[in-house]
Amino acid sequence: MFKNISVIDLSTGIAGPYCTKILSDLGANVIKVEPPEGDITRISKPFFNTPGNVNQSIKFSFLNTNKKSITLDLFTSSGLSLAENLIRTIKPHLIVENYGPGGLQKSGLSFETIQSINGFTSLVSISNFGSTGPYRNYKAMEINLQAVSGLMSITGEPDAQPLIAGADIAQLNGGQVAALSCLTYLYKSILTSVGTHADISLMEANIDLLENWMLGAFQGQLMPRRGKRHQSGFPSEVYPCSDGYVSVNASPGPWSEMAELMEDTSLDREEYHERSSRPKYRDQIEPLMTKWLDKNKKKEIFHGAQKRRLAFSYIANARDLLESDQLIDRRFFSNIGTNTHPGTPFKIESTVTDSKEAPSLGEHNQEIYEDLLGIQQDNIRTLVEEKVI
Amino acid sequence: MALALQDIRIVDLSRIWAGPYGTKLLADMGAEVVKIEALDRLDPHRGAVRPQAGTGNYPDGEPGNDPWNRNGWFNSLHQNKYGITLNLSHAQGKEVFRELIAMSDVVIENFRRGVLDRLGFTYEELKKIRPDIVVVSMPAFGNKGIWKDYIQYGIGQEQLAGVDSMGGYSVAEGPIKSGINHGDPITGSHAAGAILASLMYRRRTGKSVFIDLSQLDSSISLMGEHLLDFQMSGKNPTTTGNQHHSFAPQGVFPCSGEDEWVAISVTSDSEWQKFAEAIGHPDIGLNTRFADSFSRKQNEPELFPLITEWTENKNKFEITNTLQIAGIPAAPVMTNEDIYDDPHYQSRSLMEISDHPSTDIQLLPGVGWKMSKTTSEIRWHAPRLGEHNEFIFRDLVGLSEDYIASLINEGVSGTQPVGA
Repeated sequence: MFKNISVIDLSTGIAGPYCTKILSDLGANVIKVEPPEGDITRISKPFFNTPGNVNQSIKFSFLNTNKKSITLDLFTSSGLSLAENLIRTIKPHLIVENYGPGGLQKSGLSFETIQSINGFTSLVSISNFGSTGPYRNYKAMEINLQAVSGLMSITGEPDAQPLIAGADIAQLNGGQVAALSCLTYLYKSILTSVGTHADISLMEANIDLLENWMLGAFQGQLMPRRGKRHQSGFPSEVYPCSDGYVSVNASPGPWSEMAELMEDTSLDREEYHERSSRPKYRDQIEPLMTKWLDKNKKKEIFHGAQKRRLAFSYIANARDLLESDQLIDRRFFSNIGTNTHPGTPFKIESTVTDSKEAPSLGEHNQEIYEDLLGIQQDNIRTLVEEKVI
Repeated sequence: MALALQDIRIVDLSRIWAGPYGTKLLADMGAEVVKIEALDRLDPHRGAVRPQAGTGNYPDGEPGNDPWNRNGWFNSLHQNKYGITLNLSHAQGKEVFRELIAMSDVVIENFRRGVLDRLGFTYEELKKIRPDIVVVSMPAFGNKGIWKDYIQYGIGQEQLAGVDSMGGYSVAEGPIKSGINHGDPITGSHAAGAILASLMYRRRTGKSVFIDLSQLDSSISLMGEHLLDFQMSGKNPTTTGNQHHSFAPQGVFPCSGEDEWVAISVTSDSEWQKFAEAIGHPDIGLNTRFADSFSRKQNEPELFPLITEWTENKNKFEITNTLQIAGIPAAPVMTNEDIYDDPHYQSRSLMEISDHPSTDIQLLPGVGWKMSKTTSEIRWHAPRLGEHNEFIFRDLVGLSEDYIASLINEGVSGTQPVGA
C-alpha cells in the first residue's frame, strides 16, 4: 500500500519504533538508523533464545518488523555527513526521532538543516512531554506516563492506590498518535511538497485519548475510580468463573435472557427487570450469578451469552488470543519467520502487505552504504574502525 | 494558515465514541466532516431526550431545555464537524444521502454489521454512486469472522484483547480493567489512520477502498510482544501490579491531601543512589542488599515503608520536581481536575475555548499534537442537533428551498428530536 513512501527512523525505545512499525507494516520503506550499540530495546528482556543477544529481544522483534537497519553514530562529524548524504539520496518523506527536546540538534541535524537538504521532508519529534513547557526535560517510564495523563487516577479500586493499566498502553498509544501525524503529513506533503515539523508529547497523546471521558464528560466533577465495578449499571463487572474471569453485561438483550442463560428461574423476578432499579437487588442477584459462573468455563459463558444478545466478554490471555477462532477466521495474524505476530489492525481490501522479521543490528549497512550511497569499501572499513557504524 | 486535510470530505454515520473520535482527529486537522443523525435515533452520547434528574453529564449537572445539545460526552467529540439530521429509512432521506455521497471522499459507520446494507447502501451500491469512495465499516468484531454478529462495546474489547489479563493489583486479586474503555479511542485512532492511508492509495491508483475495522483487532495491537513472549516461553504474561518486572523500586506512593499519589520508577543503579539521597537515606543507597537492580528487586517490599514515610506529607508536584531534578522518573497521578489546572499543559496552549450556544464557554483540549505551518484548533463548537442542515442541504448539496421544506415537513430532517 505504501511502497512509494520512504522513512528514516532515528527513534529508539517503544513509542517511536511503534510509530514507524505502523508505517513499515503498511509497506513503507523504513530505514532504521541505530547508534552503533543498537536500539535500547535490543537488550530488553525477555529474549527468544540467547539472553543479552542484540538480535534476540522479543520486544525489539515486535516493534521493528519490515524495517531495514543500519548503524550510524550521528554525534560524530563523519556520522553526521553520512546522515546528510542519506537524506539527500533517499529523499525521505518523513524522519522520525525521539532524542528528546533539543537532542537531535546537538548532532547538527535540525528541522532547518533537513529542510535545506530536502524541502518536502517532514520531521516528527516524539518526546515524553513535548519540546516546550516546564516538564519538557522530565524523565518518564510507562508508569509515570500513565500517572501524568490521568489514566492512572481512574484505574484501580476506589479505596486502594491508583493502578497502572496492563501492557505499555501509554507508550504504544503515543506511538499510534505519532503515526497518525505521520500519515497527516504524508497526505499533505504529497499535495503541497512542503515538509512540516511535529512536536509529539506522549503525555498529550494520552490525554487526547482520554479527553472525552475525563474532561468532556466530567467537567467540573472529579472522575472516580471504579475498580471492578466499572459502569454505573448492574451487572457490568468482572467475576471469576471455573477457568478464569468473565465480564457480565446484562444488555442489550432483555433481562429474561440472563435467567435463561444461567438456567435459574429465581433470577427472573419481576423487580430485577428494570435496569434503573436493579442495582438495589445486587445482594440477591450476585449469589445466584456466581453460583452458575463458578461451574462454567469462560468461553462457553461468553458464547452462550452472545447468542442471547448479552454483551459478555472474557479476560483473554495470550494463549486465548493465539487460539482464537475469530482471529484465525479473520486471518488477523501474520506469520513472520517462525513466529506469529499480530496483523495490521485494519483490513484493507485489495492490498497485501508481505512481512519481514525485525532486522539484526546493521543488517543493511552494506546495502545502504555501498549499494545505495556508493561509498567505497575502504571508506566503510574506516567508518567501522572509527566506530561510526 | 492552511489546514492539513482541508480537501477531504467525510460523511460520518458513526456514533458514540470510537468512530466519532476517529473523525474528530481528522476534523481537527481540517477535514470537512458531515455527521448525520436521525431525529428518532440521536447519537447516544447526546443522552436521553428527557433525562431523569441527576443523570447524564451536563455543565453544572443541569440538563436544561435542550439536553441533547448540552451533553459533555457529545460536545467534546464533535467540535469542528458539521451536524445534520437525515432519516435514511425514508425515500427522500436516501435521495439526499446519495447526493452527499457523490460529492464526498469517505463514508464511515459503526452500526451493527449489516445495518447500512439493509438501508440499501452496500459497498457495491456506494461505489456506483461514487466510484472511488473510501468506506470504513467498524462493527465490534469487523465484517468477517465467526464472531461478526456478536455484540460488544469498548468496555469488553480490552478484556477480549488480553490487555486486562495483565492488569490488576496482583494475580490473586484478579484482573482490573483500565479506567476508560480503551477499545473505543484506539479503534477511532486506527480508523483515522486507515482513512488517510486509503486516500493516499486512492490518489495513486484511482481505486475505491473498503476498510474492515474490528475493535478487537485494534485492541490486540497493544499485545504484540506478549503474544511473542508466550510463543517463546509457553507462559501467559500476568500482572505485577504497580511494580516493574525488573526495575526496583517502582510504585505509587501516597502524598499529602486526600487520594493524592505520586508514581516513582528507579531504573538504574545511579538513579538509585540519587534516590536514596533524595529521600534522606543515603545509607541504604550503599547497602549491598539494594546495590544492584537484581537485589533491589528481591528486597523491594522493604523499601516501600521508607519511601512512603518520605512522600506522605509532601505535595505530589513538589515530590515530582525534587526527584526529576535528581534525574529520577517521577510523576504526579493527575486527576481530570489537575489536567485542567496543569501549568505545563497550559503553557503549550492545549486547552482551547469552545463557545457553545447551548452551554456557554467551555474549555476543551484542542488537538493531540502540535504542528508547524498549519493551524489545528477548535474552529467551531460541536453542532447542535441539525445545526448545519440548511448550510449542507442548500449551499453544499444545492437542494431547493421547497425541497428542504418538504424534508422538514415529512420529518426526514429537523432540529427537534422525536420525543422532545
